[in-house]
Formats: sequence, structure tokens, C-alpha cells
Amino acid sequence: MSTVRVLVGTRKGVFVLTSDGKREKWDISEPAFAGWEIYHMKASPADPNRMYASQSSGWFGQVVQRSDDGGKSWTPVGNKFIYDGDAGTHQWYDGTPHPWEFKRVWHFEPSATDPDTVYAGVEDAALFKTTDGGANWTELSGLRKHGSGPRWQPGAGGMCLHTIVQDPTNPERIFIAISAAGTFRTDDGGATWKPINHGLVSAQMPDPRAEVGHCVHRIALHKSNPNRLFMQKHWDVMRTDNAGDSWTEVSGNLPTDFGFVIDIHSHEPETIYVVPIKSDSFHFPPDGQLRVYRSRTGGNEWEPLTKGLPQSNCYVNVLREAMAVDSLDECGVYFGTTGGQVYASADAGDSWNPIVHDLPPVLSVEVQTLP
Amino acid sequence: MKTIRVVLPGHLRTIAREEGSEVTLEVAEPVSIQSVLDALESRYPALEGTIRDHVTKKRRPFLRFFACSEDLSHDPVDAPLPEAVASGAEPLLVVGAIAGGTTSLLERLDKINARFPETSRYDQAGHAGFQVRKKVFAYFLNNHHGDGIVGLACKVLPGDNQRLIDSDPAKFYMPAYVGSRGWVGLRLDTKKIDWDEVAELMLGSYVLCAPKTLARAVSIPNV
Repeated sequence: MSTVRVLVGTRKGVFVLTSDGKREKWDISEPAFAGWEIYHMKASPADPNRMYASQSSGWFGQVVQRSDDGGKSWTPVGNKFIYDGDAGTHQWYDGTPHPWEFKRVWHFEPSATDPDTVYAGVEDAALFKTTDGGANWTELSGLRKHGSGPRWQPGAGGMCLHTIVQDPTNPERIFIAISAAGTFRTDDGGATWKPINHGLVSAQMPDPRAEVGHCVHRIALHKSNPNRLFMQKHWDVMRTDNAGDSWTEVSGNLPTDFGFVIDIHSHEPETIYVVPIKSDSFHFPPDGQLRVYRSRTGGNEWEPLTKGLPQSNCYVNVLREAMAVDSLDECGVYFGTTGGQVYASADAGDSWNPIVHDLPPVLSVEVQTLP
Repeated sequence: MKTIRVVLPGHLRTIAREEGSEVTLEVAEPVSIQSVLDALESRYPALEGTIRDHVTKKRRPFLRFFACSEDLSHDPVDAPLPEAVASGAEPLLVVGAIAGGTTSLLERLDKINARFPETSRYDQAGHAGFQVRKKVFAYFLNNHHGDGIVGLACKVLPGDNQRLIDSDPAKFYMPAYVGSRGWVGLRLDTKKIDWDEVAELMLGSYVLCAPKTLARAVSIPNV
């Protein structure tokens, strides 16, 4: 029977939750990297025992950990993220130029084919790549230097490159998202980039339809249709059918279209999930009710999923990295909260159960489906 | 080469895979923070970037370097370390600071406070009051009402507060509320702190504030 491994990064370490394919009984590990913030941890699709974890703290900065045995043991690898050439400036919160300064790794995206090749999205926003298993990191500076970089500015969480999506059919095409700059695409393996934000409207900006400056929270792609992506923007849920050349709003009947996570059913490319959050100044669900919303129509028509989720007095948030799906026949959906709960649904969202209640605030959730 | 002892925070010992609280390093002379960190990172490459920046080599802001009861964090990194460290008699401590190091200041003040009879400390909103029985004789103030100062306020003889401020306005200041009642502030956010002076100020204030029976138990000249 298959095994499901849920990798949970929290404010105070990593927890690995393991179950069989029934996903009813869970084994919860002791924390790894206890006391450290783990912004993200992800395994290589090419070798499920190869894992990368972003370990950081205000005291000691960034550490990158690598495991070659499925998380049983870890080795610190390279943590030297040096911007290419003159780092230059981006906009600070007050609009003044501010030098680019590395703070932390938000996201690791291992290559689909090579366990030693990994992309890293960092704050201040830039994309790095290793081809030697994390020993050395090189900036793909065509992104930061394509022209709009000096106009990027931080969102409330910092100026972070938080999402990296590889086109499963074209290794030269990568999508990335930055708060608060927007979404960008390369079609030549990272050498050159272009902003793909046409159709995004952010009313808070001086020019709501500007080429860059949008606070994109998360993007997701289904392997069966790499030209279709879904986006949870600061406000608005968006969809593109032409690889980001233009976007259309699909918020439809959501109670609020603010939120952080968005993900796609592993077998149904039109079935998407979001967790609506009341607003950017509240960061908790509307009416104290934690509801996942599911659309089976690629957006616009949404249904609340509440069975097993708290429907009163719930004031947690679900951060942008904190939702994932497994690839079992009956798709499992997982998300973690800032209250330390990790919820699992073994029936594509129809019902939910908490795997664990009392972890530190959850920063990221990834899932491995193992044979 | 000198054999140098370095005490690392627990998290860094984990990354370095060292179980003991202390590591020993062979360091080329002259022994400085810079040469010790060079040797440390050479032996434990996983610590590169965790104590100082990869490129600028600047100390990470929340870390401190202590040795021989002194805070060396703000000294030039190529300044010679105290002979006791260079000889291996004392270790160099790499310490994770809390709130900019005010905890270590409070620990020093606690030690002075413990010299006086029947004293205690209470903490409130980042500040602390040192009491003899129930009477406060010194305040540790951390950005009191947003004044940006970390300091110690003590009672002094009438008129001495203004005289002290006039004598060294970079060191002494008039604290809010209690300044008008004969108290003076001594800044603790300066590069060098004269702890003998701090102890003398606290002792004088203790004698002025404590019940006579307790005040007589400690001796202070000219008060």
C-alpha cells in the first residue's frame, strides 16, 4: 500500500506526518531543526529520499539542510546566496531606493529530473539555482535585472520570491511569483524573463493595472495543462489559459477573495482549492469559520467545504506555502494553520480531520506520495 | 599559534556537530575576533554565514561576543583579544542576544543588587525596578516612553543629579518623572560601561532609600 508523507515546516522546526494510503492513522515525528524557522522543505520528484530544507533564524541567518535518506539524517550544505554583480536597489516601503539584501530562502523547487538541481526563491526577491546538490548557489540574475527590478517593493511579509513552478512539459519554461512585484516567466531556462501580469488589477496601487507591483500570493499549475495557471492574488483569484500572457478573475461567489493558498486536485485540472481570509488587515477567516472553498469548474463557481473544520471561534490564518495535495486515486488535500493545526482530507475536500492540533505556527506543507 | 577556547550557542553546536559546550581552535597570532572566526569557519564550514555575513564579514546583529566579563561586540574585529583569551585561560563567548543585549545588562545589575541586604527585582514592560523591601531604589529603563535610552536611574544627594549631568552629559541624563525628585540617569547603551561606577551609584541610592537599619549595614564613604 502507498505511504503518504506530509512535510510540515513551522516557526520552530520540521514535523513529518506519515500514514498509509487510507490516511486515517498518522505517525507524527519529533521535531527536526527544533527551535528554527523552516520556511520550506521539499523532496526531489526524481529521488524521494533527497530533501532540501530552508532553516533560518534571526540570530544565525540562513542554513540549508539536505537529506539523502528521506529525512533520517541531514547535512548542512551551501548557504552562500550572493547576488550577481552590483546588487542595485529596489523600492523601500516609503518609495525610496533600498539596496538588495539577502534575508532568507522562502522556497525550494527541486528539478523534476535531477536531484542535484534545485531552484531557490529568496528574500530580497531573486532566484538562485544549484546543480551540485546545494553546495553552491548561483543567481539567475536575468530575472532581477530584466528592467523592472528597481520598481519592485516589499509586501507586508517582505520582498520575497515565494513560488517557483516548472512547466512539466518544457524544462526551459519556469514561472515565479514575487510579493509585491507580480508573476514572471522564462522560456529559456532562466536566462531572460518577462512580467506576465496583464489582467491583474490591484486597486490599492497608483496604477491598478501596472506591469509590475502586484502582490501575488501563490500560483499553481496542473501537469496536464501547463498553459493554465491559477493565482491567489492579495485580493482576487485569477486564471490564465495562455501561460500568463493574460489573466481573468475567477473569484465568483467566494465570500472574500483575499487569501494566500491555492492548489489544484491532482487528477482533476479544473478542481481548485482556496481558503478565503477576511481581509489583509484581519488575516483570519470570515465569521470565525474555517472553510476551504472548492471550484470544480476552474473558478467562478465555488462551494464551501466545512465538514470537520471548526465553524465557530476560529481565527487562524493559512499561509501561502501551507497547502498541498497527494497523488493517490482519491486525491488527498492538506493544509496547515498559524494555530498549529494540520488538516487532511482523504476525499478531495468533502471531509476533513486534524492530523495534529498543537504544532508551532505552520509555514509550509508539502506532500510525498510514496509507492 | 595559540590555542583558543570558544563557547558557541547550542544551535550552532548542533550545526557544527559538536556536543561539548566549548571548542578549541589553533589561531594564528595576533589573536582577534576576526582571526578566531576565520579559524572557526575553517574548521566548521557549516558555520559560515551564521555568525557574520559571508561577504561583509559584519557580525550578525543579534549575536554578541563576550570575554572576561566584557562585551567585545563593538570593538574592532582586528583588535587583540584580552590576554586571558589569547592564553586560553578564558573562553571567547558567542552569545545570542535578547532585545539587543539588555538581558546581559540586567544580569550584571542583578549581581550588584545581590550585594545589598533584602533586595529584590520586579520586571515591568521591558523595564525593571530594584527594591529594598518594598521601596524602589533603582530603575533599569529600556526606551522609557520612547526616549531611545537604555539606562539606570538612581537617587542621589540633592543637586547632584544636575552636577553629574553637567559634568558628563553624554553619560548622565535627567530621567523622566523621578529626575525632579533628585534622581539621575546613567546611560547603559554606551560603548564602555564603568561597572564600578554603576555599583557606586546603586550603593548610594540604596543607602538613601533603605530603612536606616539596613542602610547602616552597608558602608559608603561621604554619604
